[in-house]
Parts: sequence; structure tokens; C-alpha cells
Amino acid sequence: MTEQDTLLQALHHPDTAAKAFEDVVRTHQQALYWHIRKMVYIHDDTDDILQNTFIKAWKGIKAFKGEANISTWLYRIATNETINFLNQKKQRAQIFGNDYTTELFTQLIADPYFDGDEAQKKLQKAILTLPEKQRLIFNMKYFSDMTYEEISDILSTSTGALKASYHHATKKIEEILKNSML
Amino acid sequence: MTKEQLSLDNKALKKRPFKTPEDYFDNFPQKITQQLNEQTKIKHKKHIHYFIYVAAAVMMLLLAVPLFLKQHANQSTTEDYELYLYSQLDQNTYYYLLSNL
Repeated sequence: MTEQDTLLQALHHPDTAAKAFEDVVRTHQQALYWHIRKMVYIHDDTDDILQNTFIKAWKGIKAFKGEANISTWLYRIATNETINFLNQKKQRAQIFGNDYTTELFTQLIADPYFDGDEAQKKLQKAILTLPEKQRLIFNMKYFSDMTYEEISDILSTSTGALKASYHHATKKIEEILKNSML
Repeated sequence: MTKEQLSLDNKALKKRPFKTPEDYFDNFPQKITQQLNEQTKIKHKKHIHYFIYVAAAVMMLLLAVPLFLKQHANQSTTEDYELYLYSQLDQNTYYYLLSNL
């Protein structure tokens, strides 16, 4: 029996589920938090999305039979929650005729929990020019050092497509950073 | 700002530029447990409310059915009695009573 099987057994048993789930939260909270935070920037928004992620995971735990790694499964939920949040934000910004990436960057600069220097601000501004999925891939590879196989499992995209996407993203960002020095 | 500082190979650039409130990760699991407990309580409350509604409906039925049956039975008895009385009358008295109604 694998470690995941033992964990799933504990999660599926009414007497041990709550305690086992608290351990799951403790183990995965940081990785998921940073995964979300790099997309939505603001701590409070990240906190809301992370809570929703774990509540959805708890509700769906009975249906989860261990087809994937529990970490991959949680990353998928967190990613979906993040994309939904960003889509809502985009729609709200469009109603007021604003560009949501500009809004995100303004909020990032004003966030008391952002402590990046000038170079990091420029990098974040450049990352925001990428399409959403490319931004996700770039963050997972560049900041989190995830392998293409791990990213592929989470995003259900082939490793070939991921490599191409990451390559285009780095080229674009390098170009923007180079031009920002002129 | 130098070219090296803005290069993606610059390790300083790879550093996360974000902070979290103090003890955030220490308190987060408890926050989730608390939320899940509250949701379970709400779910239980909903079940209790549902049970109360069902119990009230059953009580209403239990009270209403005998009342209905009793009323129906009384009505039948009265009708039967009237019919019996009419059956005891001769034809002339019957038409006399009918014309004076």
C-alpha cells in the first residue's frame, strides 16, 4: 500500500477524515498559496482562493479515488479557482472600460505585502503582458522550478506544447526587459 | 539598472517578491477546519429544519384525516336519517311538505 493509499483511506473514513484533511492542508498550503499568489498578486485575494480550493477539495474528497497524485489534484482545483477569479476580475474591469492587467499591476504596487525592487516590478509588468495560460506556465517553470511533466499533469497540456509556450514567454519577457532599459 | 539585473538568469530576479502576514501559514489550517465545522453545522441545521417541516406535515395529515373522516361520517348519518324519515311518510304528506319548503 502506497503512502497516498494510506492517506486516502484516512480521508475516506469518517473518524479520521477531519484530522487527515488538516494534515493535507498543512502539507500543501504553501505551494498552492504561492501558485495562486503569482497569478492574482494580492494577498487577500490569494487567501480567498486558497480557502475555496481546500473547501472544494474537502467536498470532492469522497469522489477522489487517487487517479492522480493528491498534490496534482489540488493544483488543478487551485488553478481552476484562480482562472475563474481572474475571469470575473476581467469582466468587472471591462464593464468600467479598464484593462484588468493594468488594474492588477496597480494593485500589486500598492499591496503592503509586495516587497519587490525595481527590477522585480519590471519583470512582473512584463509577465502581465503574456496571455493567462502562458503566464501560468511561465510562473510554474521560472519561479517554482516545476518539471514539464508536473506542469503537464496539472494543466493537461503536452510537454511539447509547454516547452514551446515557455520558450515564447521567455523571449517576449526578455525583449520587454531589454526595451525597458532604453 | 544594468543588463545583468534585468536578465532572467539573475537569481535575485527569481526570488519571490511577496510577503504574507505574520503566522499566516501557522493559522491557516485552523481557519479551514473552523470553516468546515461551520459548514457542517449549517448542513445539520438544514437537515433539522427539513425534519421539522416533514414532521409538521405528517402531524397535519394525522389530524386532518380523522377530522375529515368524522365529518364525512356525520354528514352520511344525517343524510341517511333524512332519507329514513322521508321513507316513513305517505305520498300526500311528502308532497305537502315539499310544496311548503
